[in-house]
Amino acid sequence: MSYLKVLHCTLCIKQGALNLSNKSVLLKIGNKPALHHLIKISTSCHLNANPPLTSQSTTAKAKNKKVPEDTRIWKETPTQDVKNNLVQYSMMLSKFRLTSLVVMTSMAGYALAPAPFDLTTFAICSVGTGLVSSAANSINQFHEMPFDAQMSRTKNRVLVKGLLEPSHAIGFAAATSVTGLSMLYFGVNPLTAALGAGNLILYTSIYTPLKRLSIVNTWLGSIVGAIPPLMGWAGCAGELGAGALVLSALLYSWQFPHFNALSWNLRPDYSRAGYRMMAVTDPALCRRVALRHTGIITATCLASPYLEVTNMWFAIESLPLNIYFMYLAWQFYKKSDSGSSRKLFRFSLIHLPALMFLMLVNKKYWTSSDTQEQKDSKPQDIKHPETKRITVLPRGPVVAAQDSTIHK
Amino acid sequence: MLSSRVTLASRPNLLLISKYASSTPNVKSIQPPNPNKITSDMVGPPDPVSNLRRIIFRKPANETSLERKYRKLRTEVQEWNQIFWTQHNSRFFKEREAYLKSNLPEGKTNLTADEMSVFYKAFLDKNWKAHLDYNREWYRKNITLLILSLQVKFRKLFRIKDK
Repeated sequence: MSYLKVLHCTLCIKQGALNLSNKSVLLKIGNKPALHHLIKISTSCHLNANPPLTSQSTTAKAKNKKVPEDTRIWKETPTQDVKNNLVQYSMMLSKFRLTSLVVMTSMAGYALAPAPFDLTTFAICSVGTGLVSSAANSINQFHEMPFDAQMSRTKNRVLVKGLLEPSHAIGFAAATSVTGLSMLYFGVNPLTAALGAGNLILYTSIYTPLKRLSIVNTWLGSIVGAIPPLMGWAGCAGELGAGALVLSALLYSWQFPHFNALSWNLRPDYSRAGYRMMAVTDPALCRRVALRHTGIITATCLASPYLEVTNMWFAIESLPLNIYFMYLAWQFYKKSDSGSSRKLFRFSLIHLPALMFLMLVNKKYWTSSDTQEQKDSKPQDIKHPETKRITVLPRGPVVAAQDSTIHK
Repeated sequence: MLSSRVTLASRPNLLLISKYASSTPNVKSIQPPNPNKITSDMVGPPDPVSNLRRIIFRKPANETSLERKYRKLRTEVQEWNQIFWTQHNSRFFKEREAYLKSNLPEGKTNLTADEMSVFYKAFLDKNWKAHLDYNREWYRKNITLLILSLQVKFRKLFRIKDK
């Protein structure tokens, strides 16, 4: 009986006339004021009529799920199928794509360090970094649940949707951080573990709260991004040299064009949700800083041969990449619109892996014994590595000639 | 009397009704569930103003005092959150309308992003203190809820073990 009344009421709302003669029936439903019920009913009818636009995350979930999509309005929280979808939920809690990028930068740090490449340590370092990053992201989602609900970019996160409970997120974080840090401490070295622990604290306890208080959060957040390559480097070489700082500096500077471009189109959401970002508080500064740091990236890449991290080829090969990056940042600075910001953001996702790849194939010292030989013999540009060699790019004639003089 | 009137009125929609009747779970789920009858907490759709999803907390028959304390605190925090964000978001949309009304030149329907950004900055700055206070409270409440939740889970685990 009450169903009929409800349906009639929602049709009325849809057609624009609020039929208050149904008030008596609504009261039977519950003790809440009529408006609450009307809002709920209109929301649920709206949802029934217009299924929510599938965002990237929901379509990905639909692809993975073998069961039909649950279209109920009220669902169990936490969801009943946690055990069946552990992998999916872990990926969501860990912000999997972001964690993968972090692990990649850590791997690059490991591969670039002037020490022998050990596959076991490399694997443990990578997995350990991934686990610590997952823990950090999980704690971040725990703290930011009501804010994530406000922004379209983040409103489909597991805690916002009620698929998991806050205690799940913290349990996951505890398990992954303990496992990850132990792996780093026992499987790699204490320095890497200390860097990991420091980064975890920096991200969860300093950066996350600061996002709501001051734009300084962006500079601190860039440090968070610059530490994983240091972890990889320390994992391989056991210490941090000038080379580690070069890679770190590149990653620190990269965060600015990347994040400033991303946040440019989210200004309304950031403003309403209460996040203090340059894009909202000082848009001119936002674009200036992005441009400035693409310049710093170019300068650092040009200086890296002189800092004994890579050979001269890297400076030449990375120049077109960096110049294009600077060009896009300049366009963003001048045009200051959504098109140029999106282009800059998208290219930043290509620029970083490409840059790391170039650094890797052009690295100067393959083992620490190379550095010793360099000091003894005449300065050369490239030496044959003892353990492994990547010859993807053809080596120049000058270098080949020099090599032939070594191997008489 | 009333029932027959209702049936008559809905005669043209009879097919529609039978459709809904056959898929009763969908129709039932429009109404918020009864805390005494559900088997687990239920989460609803996002509120159109506050964007937060309401949770109906299950009230089991053999609820311990700790569980009741936890449930009451969760309800309280949920209401507090709903009130804050409803008021905050309403203020945002109202002030945005006022800004648009005062700054929209004749003939245009939208302002550019750069023109709007003046409003976004002003709104963010105006609410800095409100957010600071909310944040502090939210972190405190969230962690209290976490500790309680872990206590409840812990006790439940032990009770099962004792059996």
